[in-house]
Amino acid sequence: MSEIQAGEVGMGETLMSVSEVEVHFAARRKTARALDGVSLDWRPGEILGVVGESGCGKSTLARAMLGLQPTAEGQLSLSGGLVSSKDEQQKLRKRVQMIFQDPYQSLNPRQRVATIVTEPLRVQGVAKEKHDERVRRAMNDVGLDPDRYLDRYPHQLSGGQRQRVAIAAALVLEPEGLICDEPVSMLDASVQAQILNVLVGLQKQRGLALIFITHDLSLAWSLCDRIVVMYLGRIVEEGRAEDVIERPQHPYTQALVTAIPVAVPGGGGRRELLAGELPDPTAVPPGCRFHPRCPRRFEPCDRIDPELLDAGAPGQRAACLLHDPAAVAAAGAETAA
Amino acid sequence: MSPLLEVEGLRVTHDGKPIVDGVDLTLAPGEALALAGESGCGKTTSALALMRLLPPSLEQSGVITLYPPGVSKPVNIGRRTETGMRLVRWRHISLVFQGAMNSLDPVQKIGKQIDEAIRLHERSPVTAEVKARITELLETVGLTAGVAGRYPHELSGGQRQRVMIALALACRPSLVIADEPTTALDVVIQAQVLQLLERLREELGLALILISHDMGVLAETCDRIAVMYAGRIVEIGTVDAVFTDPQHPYTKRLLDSLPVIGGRRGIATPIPGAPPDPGEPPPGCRFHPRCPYRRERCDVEDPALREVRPAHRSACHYAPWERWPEVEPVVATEEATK
Amino acid sequence: MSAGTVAIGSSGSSGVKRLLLGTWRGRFGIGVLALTIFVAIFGGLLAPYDPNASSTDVLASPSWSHILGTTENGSDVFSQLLVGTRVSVVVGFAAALISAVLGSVVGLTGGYFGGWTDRILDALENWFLVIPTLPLMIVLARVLSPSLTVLIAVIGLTSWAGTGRIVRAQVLTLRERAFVERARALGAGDTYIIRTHILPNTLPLIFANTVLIVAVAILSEAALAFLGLGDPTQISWGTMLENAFSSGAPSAGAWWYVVPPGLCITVLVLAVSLLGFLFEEYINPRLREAE
Repeated sequence: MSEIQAGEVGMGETLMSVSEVEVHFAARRKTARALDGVSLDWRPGEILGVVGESGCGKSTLARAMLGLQPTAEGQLSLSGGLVSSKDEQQKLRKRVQMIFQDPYQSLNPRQRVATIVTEPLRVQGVAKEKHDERVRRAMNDVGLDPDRYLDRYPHQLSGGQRQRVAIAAALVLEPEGLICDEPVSMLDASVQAQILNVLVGLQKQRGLALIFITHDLSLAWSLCDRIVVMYLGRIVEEGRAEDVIERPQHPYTQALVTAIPVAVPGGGGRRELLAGELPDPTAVPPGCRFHPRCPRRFEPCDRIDPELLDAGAPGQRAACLLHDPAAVAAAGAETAA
Repeated sequence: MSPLLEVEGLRVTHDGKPIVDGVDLTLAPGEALALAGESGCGKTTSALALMRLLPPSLEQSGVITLYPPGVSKPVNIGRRTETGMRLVRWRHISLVFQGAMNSLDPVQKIGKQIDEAIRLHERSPVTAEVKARITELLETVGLTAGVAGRYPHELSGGQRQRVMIALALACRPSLVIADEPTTALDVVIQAQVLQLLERLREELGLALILISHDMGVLAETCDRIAVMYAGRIVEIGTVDAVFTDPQHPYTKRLLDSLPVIGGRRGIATPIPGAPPDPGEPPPGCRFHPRCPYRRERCDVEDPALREVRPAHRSACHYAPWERWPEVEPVVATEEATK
Repeated sequence: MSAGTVAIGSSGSSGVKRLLLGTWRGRFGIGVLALTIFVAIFGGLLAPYDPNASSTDVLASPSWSHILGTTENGSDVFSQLLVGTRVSVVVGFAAALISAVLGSVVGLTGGYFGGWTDRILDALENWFLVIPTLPLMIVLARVLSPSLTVLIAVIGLTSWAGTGRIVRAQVLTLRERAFVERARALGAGDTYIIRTHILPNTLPLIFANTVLIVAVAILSEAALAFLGLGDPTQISWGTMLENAFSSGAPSAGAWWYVVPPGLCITVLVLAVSLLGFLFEEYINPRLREAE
């Protein structure tokens, strides 16, 4: 996976990159490979979507990126520099922040909003004189009046307001990147749109780069620049959002897209659905990990683990043998011999 | 055709404060009705009221009449005794609720749990027949007969949700109420479950009330849709009509905020603020504080739900809307509500 | 959203006040506790006689000069009761404090750090939970020479395991909460996280549990003293009972020697337990709703 990528994807500068990261969990004497060789570039100011079913490793990836999850293999780098020491990790945590799915769980119930939003400044040792101004600015940025909300406790806020507080707390350090793990999936439709508006507004005004981890493909499509699709601890497809969702190249992405309920009457129609469910991550199928469920599998799929290769539009890549005739031919020759 | 279910003036109150504030509905046999709306709008409460399953702290009033096929006398649900209701529940109306897949008894095999559901509602069924029924039910929902011998923890989330649907079908009801049946499931599994519901409707002539916050799910599965807001239905009509030509600003904004793949990307202007508490609704139209199209009349006069197009009703003073005017978004902060 | 639907910690002192003074259980508990503490402090001054002074008036029944009669040595029972309060209260609270600190430290460390630390501490906790506490206390108190400090230490050392268990369980759930994860994502250290996020959310639980342990400790002191393992130089409700029994007061019909200390122990334990249960309900909304 060392080749230089085509077109716009080759544009060097990254905010953060992840290379060949592996995360293993011990599960009843077996090892679950939650992440199994994941590489990813996140560029400054970019909205990157990470999609997949639950258990595909998307949340583990987010946690690994911030060093919350020990990795067995692989490297993280920040603006091109390897993050290897504790010191550099601390720096990373200043420049990249995270918000979580459940706004009811993510705020300490015994702290006032003011304490919650100031916490990052205290932890990172920002000078006290700056606290007030930074906190007020962050509150205004998320659309909460500081005078009215700073004194409240989380239980006095609605779900949407809590998520705004969580975003404000992430913003006070003026990060360059924000990783959002399912930030709106617990919220109502109209509140969802409000929170998304806040996040996208921050990207536009401050040039904040966002990672959107979501199971909602239409949401990812509507607001991301690029999307990576994960399956069982691997990236199986990546590319520009329009390309990946409107013209998916990997059978798994195609299946996901087909499964999206469409808000157009009769839009679903009769469609082919993927059979079965995500396999146990302690027993990853041999060859292509998707082959047991794949409607388009063919002979060598159960033997060859496909690489992520260019497929479809510029910058779009998929890990599927349909796009790797060379590997298929080589396998054929091998069996013949 | 005669209806299967008629609801008139359904009200549910808590300490005298309404949660559901006057809901009228009719449902034809075999019809699928969608109940849409945000949390707290009263959709789940209404559904539970139809089965008289509300907790004792809530009081319900209104007339609910069920016309079960093959039964000559209609059932007046509001006036049944609790024992009488037990016969109606599951026999005629059954429920698949949110997170139902986690409500299976973990220490009992699946077959035993279905067996129990059947025996609870039918007097002395023949054991061999019950066995055959269980196999048939499991196959109907796309599981193998072998699942009967397994424990819930041996099944995946999708399989457990299928078992819950099998349980709901155990006594061959004519109406199934499904409250967010796919919310906890992944897209692929969600699509499988929805396809199953659709197939069951076709094969068994089942009527369905589907409750979901996901407009996409509703559009795919249902014939008609009722949109609820703050304890009331604000718009009701065929799915086709409501989705292509919404007649209430709330529905309109809700649909606008849905991304439609292949269309225009980006975030739609959100509806500002949060829905009001149905117990203390704002004066006039309940949606007016958040409505970008409001005029003076909306602040004072409560619009009634009325027919604005054939078989399409809306509770908006200005419906029918021929063309939605372009509007400046109301400021998208929390301040707009309180 | 109303304040009634909140979970742990959404507290506010008004809630506590309503809890303590709004229910008969709270009023009873607070009243008895306040009175006991007052007597524990000023008991010596209130006592009409020197509690150790003997007289020839042996095992006399209640009269105007000795409102609760006299002991086998002719000492005033009422004075002993007042003076003895101090030992019961001191032992109860000090032992509970030791137990709370030990339990919290072990529970927090194990629950927060996990891994081998947790396994070892958990094994230790289990060991203390399953061994019969009273025999252990008896053995310990016998080996060490009886004194008030030994008594406190012995009771404290044998009663922390339950607290440790509860604290550990709470920490395990808190550790996974997103606000702890977020603090970690910010680069906050363990000490910071424990101090600002874990401990404040565990304190109400520790507090409620400790109040219950006060009751256990008071009973244990009485039991040890009754078995002759108390501090012989100190008068406590337990030693009073022991002296009464060893002198054959019950068979002599001297109920005034047996009933008052027994009743005091019962009422104080009851009051403290009620307070403990109230706090438990307060921090556990599910119990609160059941009411």
